[in-house]
Parts: sequence; structure tokens; C-alpha cells
Amino acid sequence: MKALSIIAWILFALAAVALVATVPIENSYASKSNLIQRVQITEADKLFGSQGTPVGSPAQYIIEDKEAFVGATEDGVQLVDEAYLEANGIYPLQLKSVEATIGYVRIAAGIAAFLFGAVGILAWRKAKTGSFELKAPVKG
Amino acid sequence: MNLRIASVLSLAAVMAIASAAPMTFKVGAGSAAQQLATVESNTEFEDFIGRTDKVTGSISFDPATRKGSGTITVDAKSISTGIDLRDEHMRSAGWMDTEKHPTIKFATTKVTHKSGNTYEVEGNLTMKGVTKKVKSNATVTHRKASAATAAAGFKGDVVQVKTTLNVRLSDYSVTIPAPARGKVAPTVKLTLSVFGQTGA
Repeated sequence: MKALSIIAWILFALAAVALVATVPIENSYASKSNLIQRVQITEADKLFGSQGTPVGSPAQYIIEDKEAFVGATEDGVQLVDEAYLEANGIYPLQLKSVEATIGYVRIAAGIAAFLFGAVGILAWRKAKTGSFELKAPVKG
Repeated sequence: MNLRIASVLSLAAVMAIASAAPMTFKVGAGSAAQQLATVESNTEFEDFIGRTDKVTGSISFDPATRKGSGTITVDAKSISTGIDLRDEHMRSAGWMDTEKHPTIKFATTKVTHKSGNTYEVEGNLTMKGVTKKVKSNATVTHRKASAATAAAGFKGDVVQVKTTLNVRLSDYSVTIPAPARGKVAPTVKLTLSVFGQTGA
């Protein structure tokens, strides 16, 4: 029972560490993300006075290859060359996907921490008293 | 003398009428890379964009009267999202069934000039064998044939048309399988950004 208690506390600690670690990981990805508009650049852009044809809507992406960036709009949206991404096999990571995944990890780690914590307490009590029974307080 | 003036006026009138006649612009005739059709899905988990440059069609447009019409065909089989497995799923019978329905077609039924380069466009969108009436705004920009249009790889006059249609997938018999729910939006944005040229 003591071994079970130790294992449960170790797993509780790992789940707690995972839960806490999601905060700096999320912040790190958020700090690397930019509001990005993917654009298709062709010879026609100059003719029609554009900086490229938008491919989809602007979104928060994490793209670390600086050579993919080809400029910015007046309102600060970074323009990224779609052809460069394709040629270099870069599938742009979206911040919302990272946040959703981290959300799932938090839920899983929270549930794991709760369960392993409960098992750890019960196993510790069992090891100490030899019983899982929760005794009612004695009156008077 | 009067006859000469009348002849000149008649010629001018004929030229005016001729110049006001709608021109036919062929889409997909020039550099294929300049054409773009995208399908965009936005969900809480992720956005994804499917794209192709295999867009063809014909646009009739009169820059003087600002009247026009057009038909655009998108090669649905060539739409790529950047992830091969997702593309396979998208082309399968359960989704777009591109073996049976290889194209997405948009044909205008009414085009009304609003202001500047903006037009209200009504038309029929055919996807997966289902045709529905759709309405959207479009921008149409015309450039007369010049050294600049030639430098950009076009022959003759050039017209650029951009429009976005909101497409509810269930309207076109596209059902989202259970494993993909939440990852694919029930309504996607179909955006066309195409160039047409009068030259062959």
C-alpha cells in the first residue's frame, strides 16, 4: 500500500507539473505568433496595385522562418508568401490550435492530478491505519 | 460638306457603340498561377484553407455601362489544403465526391453596379451536383491593354474579379462525418479571385 501511495504521489506531481507548465508554453507560443495574411504573389499585383492576393483571412499564426514574410499592411497585418510556404513544406501553425491543444492538456492534467491525489491520500491512510474507512466525527 | 460631317458623326457614333459593347474576357487563359479559388473553414480549433489555381471561365463586361455576366468553373479535384490525408477525405464520396462531381461552377444571373468597382452579384452555384441561388458582392477592376498588362503576362484588356460566397455545406449534400465535427465549419467561405483577358 505504501508503494501505491508513492506511485500515486509521483503521478500527482507529474500531472501538477504538466498543468503548471502549460502556462509558460502557451505564453511562449503566443509571443511568437503574429497576425498574418497569407498571400499569393503574381505579376498581376503591380498592375492592380495590390501586395498579393489574399489566401484566406488573416489569423494568428506561428511562422518562425523570417524569409516567408514579404511585408505588412497599413494596419500591421504581416504578409506571408504562400508560394514560399509551399516550396519549403511549411504548414503554418495556428495559435488557436495550440491554445485548444493546451486546453485539452490542462483538462487531462487537472483530472489526473485530482484522481492521483485522491488515490495518494487514500493509499497513504490505508498504509497508516490499515483501513479506507472514513470515520464520522465522534459527538460529545 | 454636310454629307462629310454626317459621315464623321455617324462613324463616331458607331465607334462609341462599338467601344461600349461588352468585351469577353477569358479566365484561365494566361498564367494559371494568377487564378485563385479558396475554400476556407473557420472553427474554434483550427482554420484551414483549400486552394487551387485551376480556375477557368468566361466574363462578359462592359466598362462603359458597367454591365456584365460570367461563368467560373473551379476544378474541385485539384483543391489542396496542405495536408494530403485531409485532401483525400475531402475528395472522397462522403464529402465532395470529386470523381462524380469534379467541378464547382458559378454562373451569374444578375449583376448590379453599386459603387466604384463594387457590384452585387446573383447567380447559381453548382457543387456536388446541387445548384442553389447565391448572392454576394464582387469587385471588378478593368485595365485596358497596355505595356503594363503585357508585362504582367496578359494579352489584351484585363479584368480582375473578386468575390466571396458563404456556402452552407449541407445545402449541397455535403455532410460532415462525426470524427470531423468541430474541425470543419458547417459554412465555408468560397473565394474567387480571377483574371480574365480579351486576348487568346
